[in-house]
Amino acid sequence: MTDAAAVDAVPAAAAGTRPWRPGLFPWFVAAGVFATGYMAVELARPNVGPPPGVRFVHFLVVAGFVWVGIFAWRRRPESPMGAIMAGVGLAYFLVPPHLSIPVSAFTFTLSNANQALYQAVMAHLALSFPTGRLGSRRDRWIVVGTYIWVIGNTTISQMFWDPGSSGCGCPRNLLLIDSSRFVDHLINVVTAVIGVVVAVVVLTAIVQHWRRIGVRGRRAFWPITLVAAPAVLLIIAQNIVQLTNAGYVAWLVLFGYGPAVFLLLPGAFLVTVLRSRLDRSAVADLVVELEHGVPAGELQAAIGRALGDPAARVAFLRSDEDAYVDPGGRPVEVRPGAGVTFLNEGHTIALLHDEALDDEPDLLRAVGAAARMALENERLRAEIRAQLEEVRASRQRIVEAGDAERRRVERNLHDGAQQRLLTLSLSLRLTLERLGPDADPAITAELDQAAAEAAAAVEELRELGRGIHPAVLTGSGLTAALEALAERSAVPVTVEAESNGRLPEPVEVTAYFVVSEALANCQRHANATRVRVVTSRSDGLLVVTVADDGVGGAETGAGSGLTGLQDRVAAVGGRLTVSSPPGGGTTVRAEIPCG
Amino acid sequence: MRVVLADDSVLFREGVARLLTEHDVEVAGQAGDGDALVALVAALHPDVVIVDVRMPPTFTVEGMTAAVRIRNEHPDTAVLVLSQYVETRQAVELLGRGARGVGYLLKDRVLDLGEFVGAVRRVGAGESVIDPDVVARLVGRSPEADRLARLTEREREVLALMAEGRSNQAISERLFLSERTVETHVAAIFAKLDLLPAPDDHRRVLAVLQFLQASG
Repeated sequence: MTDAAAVDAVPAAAAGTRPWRPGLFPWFVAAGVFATGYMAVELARPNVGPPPGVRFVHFLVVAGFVWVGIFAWRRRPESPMGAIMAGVGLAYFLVPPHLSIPVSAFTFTLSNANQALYQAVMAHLALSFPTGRLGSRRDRWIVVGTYIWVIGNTTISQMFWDPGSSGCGCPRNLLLIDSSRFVDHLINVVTAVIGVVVAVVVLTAIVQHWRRIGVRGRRAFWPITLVAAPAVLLIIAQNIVQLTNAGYVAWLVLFGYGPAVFLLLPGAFLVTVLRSRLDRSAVADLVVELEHGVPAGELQAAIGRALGDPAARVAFLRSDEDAYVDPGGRPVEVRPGAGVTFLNEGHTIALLHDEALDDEPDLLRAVGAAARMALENERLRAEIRAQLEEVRASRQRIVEAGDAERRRVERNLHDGAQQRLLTLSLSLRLTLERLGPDADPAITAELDQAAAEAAAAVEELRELGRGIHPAVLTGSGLTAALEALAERSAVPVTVEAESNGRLPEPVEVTAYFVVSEALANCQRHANATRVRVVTSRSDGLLVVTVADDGVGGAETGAGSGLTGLQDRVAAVGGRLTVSSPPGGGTTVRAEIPCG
Repeated sequence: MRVVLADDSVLFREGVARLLTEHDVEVAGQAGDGDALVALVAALHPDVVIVDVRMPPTFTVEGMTAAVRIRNEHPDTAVLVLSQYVETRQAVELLGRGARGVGYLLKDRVLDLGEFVGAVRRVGAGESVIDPDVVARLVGRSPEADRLARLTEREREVLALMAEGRSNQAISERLFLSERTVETHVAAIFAKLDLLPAPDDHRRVLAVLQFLQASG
């Protein structure tokens, strides 16, 4: 494998391989530099606006989301997740306290009108975590609804909020159309109630999202589980507090320092990335495990452990068929897309894993590279097993077809030529008889000769037919056929058959030929005085043994009839063993599966 | 004596029919398979049925099945089964029922015309006829059958002929022995086989058969 491309795992999700809007990246970086730079400068100016602690918390939230988001974007350019996270930071930059030293009425208005935008972006982030893509249509509607609600609501409320009334000495509110306190208050109530509802809906969606994703996905999702409840509770509290005339302390806690909990998200995300690095040690474990040799069938579990996804499965493409099978040879559906990673160029090995792992191609690549050789071996083994099974089946079919053909030939001989010759011979005898004693002796002698010839031919055909296929086997079964063999043997033979029940024909024919060949060998070489033929059935096996008390030393080498027998027995999935110690007799034992 | 023939070969059937007719045995009917034979027997009540083992539709043991059925349904009809190969198990199964008028012969025996007609008559008269090959095999096998091993070569020959249903006189003619000598051999055989001598030829055969069956 010198081809570098073949060494890399190929993430199957085609959409995941292209960078997500790379043109936006520099703008986000520029915006991030501006926002954090601006806030850093502001931090350095003492005693202006909110207390330095509050300003520092807000600086951390903005900087945390922006730079962790940009880091995530760099790490996974194909995922919009980094952009969304950076977006949370940038939106948070617009929350009023950061622009507490307003530059102009325009920035003041912009800031106020977008003071809750970060909440919508956070909901977006939470529901699309960790892939950056919204999984379900419902989630999509919730996110879109949240954006519309947040932007619409703050814009409308700005239309009725007169900063002059709070006496803050702020710049003009460019959106103000009516400074009626009553409308402002009404809008604040509606905002608070609907805001709580929206927050609960988002929280519910996050919980459902969490329940839907797999074990592996939950691991990647944990920054959200960590931050979701405190963040949503904080936002709900903010909504409620805004309705009451809570004092400065409440404002300081909820709006000043409270947002620090948002920092949990970028923080936890960084930990996850670090943990992903830790997964590499799992890969190292896998490499060591493979080094020691993983037993067949265990490989899948070992890969699952390395991926942290116990449900991970391996599938192989069979080279002779366009279908995937699992290591056990069972068919598996493999459809390129999320949760499927091909480990080589030919797509012959597929890893089926939790979709969340698509977000960790490094891990997949590492595990794939570590396990590929072993997997390739396992794939070849699975393929060879499948091919062997086919070859075995085809060998059995060939043998059975041969048997059927022999049976047909024997029957044609028996019911055709043999019968006709017998009839011919009978006719000759009848003619001879009819000629009477006064007939020409030359003619009668010739007729007699012809009749005898025909009778001899009948006898020869009978022998020939028996060699081709024993009719007694078809008619009366194995035990009768073995007894017939025994009767014809020159060496005395006893037959001990467990039962007379019929067996599948290939089994009977194979057993018959085993005994027939073994007896023939015995008569030729063994110098035996007696032979014992025993058949028994146990555990779906027909066991046939032919044991003689001869000189032993029989060999199963090339050219021996016993080798042919071994092939014959193997063809029906059985086993033939020959034990023939010199001077200790010969025992031929065949085990034939008989269902 | 009326005979019904069953064989799937019409030519062979015709040949046997001609043979029997020429030896004054009436051929009352002919059948091509087992079912037709059973129907014919029910209609004609022949004295003897001659049936080939292998017949349509499967060409395995249809004739044998028909023979057993006829033995059960028409005990007065004698059955002579012909087979193209000798199968001792089949013969013992057919004859070992202790029934009268049963025969089992290799099909080739028809070529010895006189002998064959004689066999048909003997079966028709209620005797049992076994093919010499069957007897030879039964006698020749079973090395563990110690009782048979006690027999001398000559006694085995006599036993084989006895099993064919031959009388002492016939045996003496066959073996060129005096009838008295044959009687001595028979007595010795019965003694060695632990069988009580019986005056009737037929019962002799059955006794021999029962012994052979037990040893087979």
